[in-house]
Amino acid sequence: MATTGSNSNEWMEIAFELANEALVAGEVPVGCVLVFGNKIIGKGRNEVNEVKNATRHAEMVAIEEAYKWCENNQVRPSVAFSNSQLLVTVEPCIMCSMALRYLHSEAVGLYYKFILITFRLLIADQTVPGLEAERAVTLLKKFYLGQNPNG
Amino acid sequence: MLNETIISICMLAIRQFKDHLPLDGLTHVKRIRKDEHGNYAIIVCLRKHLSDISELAMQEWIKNQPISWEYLGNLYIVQVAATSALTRKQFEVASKYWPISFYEDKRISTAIEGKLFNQEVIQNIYNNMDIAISTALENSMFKIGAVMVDPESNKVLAKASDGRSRNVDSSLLKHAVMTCIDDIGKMHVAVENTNNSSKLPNEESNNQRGYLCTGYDLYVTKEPCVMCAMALVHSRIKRVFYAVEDKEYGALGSRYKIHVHEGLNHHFEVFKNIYRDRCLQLQ
Repeated sequence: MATTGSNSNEWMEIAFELANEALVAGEVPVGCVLVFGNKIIGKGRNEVNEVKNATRHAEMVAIEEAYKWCENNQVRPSVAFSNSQLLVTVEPCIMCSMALRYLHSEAVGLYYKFILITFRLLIADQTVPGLEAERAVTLLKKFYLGQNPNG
Repeated sequence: MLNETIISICMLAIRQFKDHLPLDGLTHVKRIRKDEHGNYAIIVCLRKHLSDISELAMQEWIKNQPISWEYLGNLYIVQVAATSALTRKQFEVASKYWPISFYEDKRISTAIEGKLFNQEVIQNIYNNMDIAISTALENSMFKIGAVMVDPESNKVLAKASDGRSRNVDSSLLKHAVMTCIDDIGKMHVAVENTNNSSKLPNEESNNQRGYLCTGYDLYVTKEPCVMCAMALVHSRIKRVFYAVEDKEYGALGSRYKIHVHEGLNHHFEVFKNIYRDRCLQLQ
């Protein structure tokens, strides 16, 4: 497992800010940032209830934003995605994992560097202490102790 | 020996076997059987538990188990069904080897008998797939079409073709199913906005339906992939009808069975082969 680079703490902090924002908005608190070339090209937080679409997970939102970034900055999405890192506060679901796989494998074949940094992997990696996992879980607990308006 | 005595011995043996030699993972398999000659036979243990030792050593091993053996005869090996029977036919075949328990799933039986849908519903199913096929033709690269239908009214709520192209820089995630789900969300947002302006007190049932595809059916010309299948789980889809299986990526039966995965919190019914031949030509 590769490390995320010197700014990973800072990026993870932004991911947590996004997760917090989701919580305040009454969404499952998950946040993520997509980083390419030391720059955030996509940010996302869960917005399922807001847009009444169960597929609007943080990762999907960030990916969409990154596509726009590529368009505005004239960077080929295949290059951007396959050299990106995703920092997300909670391990991606099956849908998002598959989406991420499509983005790197179809884009550049074998030589992808798409690194998933989930709180679980962070512990295994020891790049960031378990404190992060606790933070993510605390956020989730806050949400699930409340009531999801849409079940 | 009196029948009652045999039964009580068997009962005792079964109880001991259950504790000492459980048939792990074979809860559907009956421990005891009575053949046509009135002879009883009991399953002692699984062959795999003894796979590394000889027949003789096996007998010796079994005799050392804390069970009273005096009335028991020779040991022999039988084949039993590895999984429980879902259909009566499976039950009948499996029972020829060794008795198993069977709880008939009426819905599955009705489906197998071809009685799940009446003629009108079948016509609707084909009509909806027909719409999915027309929708599929709107994209020149990946000819896949998806249609979301409310089965209660048979009304088409959304339809989408596949938005991908062969260019790796195009939107790789614009699968027809994902776009269809997106459109349903937009529709619900629009409905809510209209309702908010005219505040109908009776709209609670609509709100409870919420952001999801609860109660809706999806028709799609090709079996959904893992991403789309999981999106349908998240969306609480009611049923999925598809035409052609996808051996490589298909997640509703071919490669994976996301719709019945035990670890997931929503399950749904899937029907395939609707206009399969027509949809094969789309690819």
